[in-house]
Amino acid sequence: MKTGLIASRYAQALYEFASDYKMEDEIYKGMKILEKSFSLNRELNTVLRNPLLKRELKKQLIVTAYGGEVDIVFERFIELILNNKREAYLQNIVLKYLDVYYEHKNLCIVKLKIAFPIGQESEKKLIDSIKKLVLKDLIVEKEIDPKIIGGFILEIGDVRWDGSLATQLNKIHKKLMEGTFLNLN
Amino acid sequence: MPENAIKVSEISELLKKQLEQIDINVQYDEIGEVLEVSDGVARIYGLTNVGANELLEFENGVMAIAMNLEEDNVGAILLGPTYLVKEGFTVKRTGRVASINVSEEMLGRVINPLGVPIDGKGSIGGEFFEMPLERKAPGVIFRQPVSEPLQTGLKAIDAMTPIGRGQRELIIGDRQTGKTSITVDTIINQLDNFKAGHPVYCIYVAIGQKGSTVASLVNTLKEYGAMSYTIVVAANASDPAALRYLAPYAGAAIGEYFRDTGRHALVIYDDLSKQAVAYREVSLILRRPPGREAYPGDIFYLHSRLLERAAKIIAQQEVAEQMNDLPECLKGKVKAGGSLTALPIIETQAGDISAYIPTNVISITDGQIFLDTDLFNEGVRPAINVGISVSRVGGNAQIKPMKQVAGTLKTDQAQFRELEAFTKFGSEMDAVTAMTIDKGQKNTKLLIQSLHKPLSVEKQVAILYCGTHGLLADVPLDKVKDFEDKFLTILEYSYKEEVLNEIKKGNFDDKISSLIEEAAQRAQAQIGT
Repeated sequence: MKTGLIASRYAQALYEFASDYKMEDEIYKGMKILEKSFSLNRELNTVLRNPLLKRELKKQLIVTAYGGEVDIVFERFIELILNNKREAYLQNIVLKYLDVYYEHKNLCIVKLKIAFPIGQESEKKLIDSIKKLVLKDLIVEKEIDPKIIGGFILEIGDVRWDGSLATQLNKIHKKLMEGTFLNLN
Repeated sequence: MPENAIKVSEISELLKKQLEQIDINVQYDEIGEVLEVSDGVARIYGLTNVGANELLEFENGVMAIAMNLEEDNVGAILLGPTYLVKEGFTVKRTGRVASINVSEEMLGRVINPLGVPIDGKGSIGGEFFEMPLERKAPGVIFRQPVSEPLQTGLKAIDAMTPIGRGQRELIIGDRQTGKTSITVDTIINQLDNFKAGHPVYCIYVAIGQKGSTVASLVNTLKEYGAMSYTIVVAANASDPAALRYLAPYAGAAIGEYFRDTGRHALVIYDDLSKQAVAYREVSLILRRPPGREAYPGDIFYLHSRLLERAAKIIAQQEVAEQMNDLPECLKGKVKAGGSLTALPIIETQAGDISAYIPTNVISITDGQIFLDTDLFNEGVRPAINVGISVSRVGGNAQIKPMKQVAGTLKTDQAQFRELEAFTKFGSEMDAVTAMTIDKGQKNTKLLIQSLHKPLSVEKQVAILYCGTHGLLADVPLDKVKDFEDKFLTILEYSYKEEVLNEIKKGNFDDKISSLIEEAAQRAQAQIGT
């Protein structure tokens, strides 16, 4: 079954419908919350797939995961999905919607992970150089994670540059353990 | 070894060298995120540029292979335990297709389909050749017809359904009919070739078997000295379905290494029905549409592309060098004239060879050896059903004396079986029928062979001559076995030079046949009939 096609068709339709109502940005914000809900509550997907759960409960669940407030566009969208029994694909639809949104708005999402805060100046420098590279407007998501010890991890879409100290130490560890029993897995 | 003991590999000089090799540049990866994990399969979001069959790596080092490339997700089969992979994990591309590192030092070892040793004898050294698991079979111009025999050491097979190097001969039968035993005997019979310095390397692929079964098989091979030229690839019943599905491809990849470097190899897939089941499992979890018996639509292609890789490579060096789809590591190392013989095994249910998978594999292979439960219980072992066993190309590979002696054995035996069925109804028999039946019964006795006692081809020819030329007419049925033992001993001690060695060279004339008759008379006298 071409499951991949289902999600992208719904996402495309939702985007076009929302932009007719000039609501695509609001929907985007909701979708971001929904994406987070999905990644924080791994059971959500399982629950939505459960055929025993009542339709009304599923709707409530989605609304809550969406942030609690629904507009007319999203309300209709939930109805459509529940009518067609495609709630199992909701997570894929959400992810696909974000992709469609970024593409239409010529945006690029950049995730920057650093070990400790860096100055405004160097951050700006980094972002400017990325901007030149991708030729798109950037949405920067910054995260400070002491676990990476030093350096940075930069994700642009599907691509990751890993210049963190933790990864390098890991590499050395792996190399030294090569051929020993502990490395079998 | 205690954990704090210093190992040889920890000498400072070596450590320094290792440190120098470590690349500490910024690491560039293409990544995705795991959305969903089900038994053995992960669905991944991202990885937009991933290729089919590409190896993927999860953040904790577990590997996977990308199988389903869909519009918004990638379905990958896990090569490690499912419980180690969690939703939300990042996955990265490795840029490599699934492959196995083959080295000469793998001989004598037991490995899993990824090339990791599982026999507890430490890591495998030597020069590695990265052979892709999935590779296109050599094209028509790089092959030549089967011309050399692959001796199984079993009289019934070498005489009636002979196997040639480069052939694919299916071994099919119910459970407990001796399918594996035939292949093990074939491996053991290659010992002489190994000792003579022109080995046939054997690869035994165990798919979905019990660990204990594999262990006892390895022990048997060791006992007969056959492990020195054998590699066992094992994906046991407890391994993930992905590994069981990949195991035959790993075996084929190892076999191809020997084949393309101008040597002879024999690969045994034990058994492909279990691989089909593992592939069905993977396909269904990947949500591919099921077809007949819930197998996916490409189940035929699964086996045909695997078995097509068995081939006899053309003897012309300059043509062989141009072989299609050569892996990078073999370029410039190709030698002509190698071969890869495949002996796939299929297990039937209640003798039903018209089920889905058996018919598929029968149509792909160059013949089949059908093993019968009833024959097995009657004591006819190997329990080969002569009537429906065939070898479509092996006849060309038989040595001349064998062709001369056993040319009519197969049809004679088939006729005898038919006659025998008739005589069960009435008691009266004419003399000709009685003689045919007597000869058939004695030949059947003659074709019985004990487990793990392969016979060299020259001895096979000599003893079968006795059967087909009526030299056993005066030997009682229950003395046939004694006669055979005595006859072979006499040949070994008194006629080695003029009979056995001549047959081995491919000569067979009146002088040799009269000597055989002489030996037969002596044997008959010894058993006192």
